[in-house]
Amino acid sequence: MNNIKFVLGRFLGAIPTLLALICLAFFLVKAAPGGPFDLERSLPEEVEANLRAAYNLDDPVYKQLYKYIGSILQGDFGPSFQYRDYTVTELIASGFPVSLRLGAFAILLALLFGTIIGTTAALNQNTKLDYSVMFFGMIGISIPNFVMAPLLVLLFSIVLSVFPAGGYNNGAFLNMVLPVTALALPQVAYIARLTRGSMIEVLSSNFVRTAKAQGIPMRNIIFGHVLKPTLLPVVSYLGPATAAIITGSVVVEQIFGLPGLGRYFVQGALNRDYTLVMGVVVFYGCLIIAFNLIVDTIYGFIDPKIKTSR
Amino acid sequence: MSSLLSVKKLNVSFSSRGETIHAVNNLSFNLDQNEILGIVGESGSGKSQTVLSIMGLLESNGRSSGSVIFKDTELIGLSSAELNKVRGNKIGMIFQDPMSSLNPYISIGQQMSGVLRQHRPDYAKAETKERCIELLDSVGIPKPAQRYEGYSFELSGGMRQRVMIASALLTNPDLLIADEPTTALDVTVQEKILDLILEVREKFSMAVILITHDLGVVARTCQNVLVMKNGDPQEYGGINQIFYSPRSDYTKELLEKSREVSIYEDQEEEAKPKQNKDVVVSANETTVSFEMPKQTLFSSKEELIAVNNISIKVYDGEVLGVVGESGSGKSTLAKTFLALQKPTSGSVEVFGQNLSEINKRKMKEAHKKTQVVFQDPFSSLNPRMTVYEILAEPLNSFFSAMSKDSKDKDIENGITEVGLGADYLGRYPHELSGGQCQRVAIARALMPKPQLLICDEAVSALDASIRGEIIDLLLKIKREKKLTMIFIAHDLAVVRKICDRVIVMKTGEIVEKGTTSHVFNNPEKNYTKNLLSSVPLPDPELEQKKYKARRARSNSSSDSM
Repeated sequence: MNNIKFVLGRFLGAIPTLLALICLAFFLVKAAPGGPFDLERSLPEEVEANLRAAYNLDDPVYKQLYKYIGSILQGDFGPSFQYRDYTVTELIASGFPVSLRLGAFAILLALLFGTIIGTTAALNQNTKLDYSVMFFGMIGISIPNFVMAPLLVLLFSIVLSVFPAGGYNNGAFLNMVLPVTALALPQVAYIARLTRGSMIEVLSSNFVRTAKAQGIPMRNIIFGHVLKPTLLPVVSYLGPATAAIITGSVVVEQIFGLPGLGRYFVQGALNRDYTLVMGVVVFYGCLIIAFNLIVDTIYGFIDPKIKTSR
Repeated sequence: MSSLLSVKKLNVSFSSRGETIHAVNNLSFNLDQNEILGIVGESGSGKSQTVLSIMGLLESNGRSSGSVIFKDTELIGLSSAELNKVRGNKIGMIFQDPMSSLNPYISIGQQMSGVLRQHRPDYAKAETKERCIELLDSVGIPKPAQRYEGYSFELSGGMRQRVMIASALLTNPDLLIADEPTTALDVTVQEKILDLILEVREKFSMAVILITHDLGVVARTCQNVLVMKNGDPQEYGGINQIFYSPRSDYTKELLEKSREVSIYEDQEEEAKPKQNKDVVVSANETTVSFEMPKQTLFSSKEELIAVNNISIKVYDGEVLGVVGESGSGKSTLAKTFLALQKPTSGSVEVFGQNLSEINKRKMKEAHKKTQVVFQDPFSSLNPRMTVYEILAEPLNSFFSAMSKDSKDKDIENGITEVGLGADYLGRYPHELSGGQCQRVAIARALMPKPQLLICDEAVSALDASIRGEIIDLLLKIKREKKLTMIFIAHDLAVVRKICDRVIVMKTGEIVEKGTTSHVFNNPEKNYTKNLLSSVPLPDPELEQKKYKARRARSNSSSDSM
């Protein structure tokens, strides 16, 4: 009952956020110099005027925004300016599965390795193992993925020739390894550091001492008592992590030449493809809001204090 | 008969940054089956480290040497796998803080059944659950089956300690170690928990080691006593010998201090309530209530009434004590005097001004005249400010026109007044001990030269000897500055020592009020009587009598049921 109320409340709260997002994106795109029909050879004036009228670009700006929001509410992102025969919805539908595959693998990889590495470091606190894990963690966080990706390509594709340097190839495993790694590495590092800090704190809490006094072996204490509270901050980081993965994917898809949403986004922005850029922004916005909502709900199930007070 | 536990020449030390700190030196004692041993000492005496080393629970930088033989097994140097066969199985342990000693993230049932899964792997699932519920029931937890599914944060402090005891007893241990089991609890709850420990000791026929800093607790519970100071054993003997003919000077000193703040002592000439004096604080039918979060969407709003229709007057120059269990509303009442909490209805007048009606400037004036000292000296001082900055702050806000020189002079006077030197001014709170922090907090409160000082559990977090010093300091200040004081405490002995008048609160209402000697010597209400008799006194014979009387009462009441 209260969970439904909570989820509903969060949904309603997301509406103003989305509206603000749409307006901001709209004005930013408009503020960029140039327009969708600026080609190397300029179009005859009449043709351009016709095109502008066809895409409602001759209306005053507020009217354009109003119409755009209206059509989004009907689930219509409009036609693409650049890929003339496709609607933005179709483009998103074709690009999203690729991005989803990339992003989901990256998140899973980050979660799996991040928590395992963090736990190992926490259990060997202040040893060489701990220090080296944290050192590489720091490197992982501080090297941006547009540096990491070419480095990976250099090492694994050119020197060792194990993985292809780019291309989607229908999502073949070998083709996904490098992009997923490049995308996940900073997140692995971040989650590892988060897990380590959190676990060290939980390990020093009184209830762990109680469990030790009850003669429960360390292994069982970790799984039975420590893991759940340790993972709480990790779960709440998943929201920001998705956002980071999405922004990262824009770059990574471009580098590895994957036909995902990110590539449409970059090309749309370069070509002033207003509707495509807007459509992708709104889609990403919804995705991030939805994922944060899911994370909050999961959090409530893990933390019994929230479950009862909700 | 060989003894259950025999400790010989136990040494515990910690290495910290290349230095070795000795926590326990050369300690030896024996514990027989069914014996109750009390280990007493102030904080830092090594009493907790002693039992932690027995259980193999020292921090990773701790080392223990010597011999601890438990039922023919040498515990020192045992691997943790071997130790796990003993701890939680043959030896149960409960800790000081029942709030944090239970895991809030997993249910009580999961925690308790974890113990049985470890030590009784042959139990079937249903059997495990049954055993847990049986134990919860036997330590007096109402609706044990429901609690088994619930979480620790849904329970009060006393109930949590009961759950801890139940978890420790699951395996019928031969020895129960209780490390300050009642320090964080109210006196009335403490009484029940101590009685419970005695009761389960009989029922499960086990020995108990009780660690406490409170000689009263020892007197009412233990058979033998070990007194420790700075890691050294001071005296070890039977309870009557320790209490009635102590041999070591330190034991004598401890006893003296604990009797000094005893609730039955006769005070010198009682200050009569001065009716002709000015009224400093008056609460008129003051009520404070808080809205509780709704249980479901459609349930009606529930209110928690913290202070219920209270009217009192505090006169100039008197010390008013406010006592009651936790949750009785005493701190909320004090907050209304400080305008930190608005009364829901009724009014509060301080120095003749109604606090809900005055403007900002007058409010500042009222704040200047009314100052407060809080319970936890560490957390109520800003850790990023030096003592100088802490003391300068009230001057900057109330006397902004003052010159820097005279401010410096005031601050220096202020710090010497509370018994610290000017050399403390450059330090940060974490460089001070608890008592020194509280002195700084008092100095800070006195900086704006207030006329009313509110002490909200100001000495509750301090060790007995430091508590005595702070009380003496407060009394001295009160005499010299002719302060009016409101002294909130759950520690009745302290209230007895310094207050002229007392009000006793229970669930937001005043149960009893009057002069201190009247309320303490002739309490009229049962609640007050209970509160008074549950304070353990450092007098074993008296405590024995009280315990027998309680037993008789509870037996007769259960017979009649």
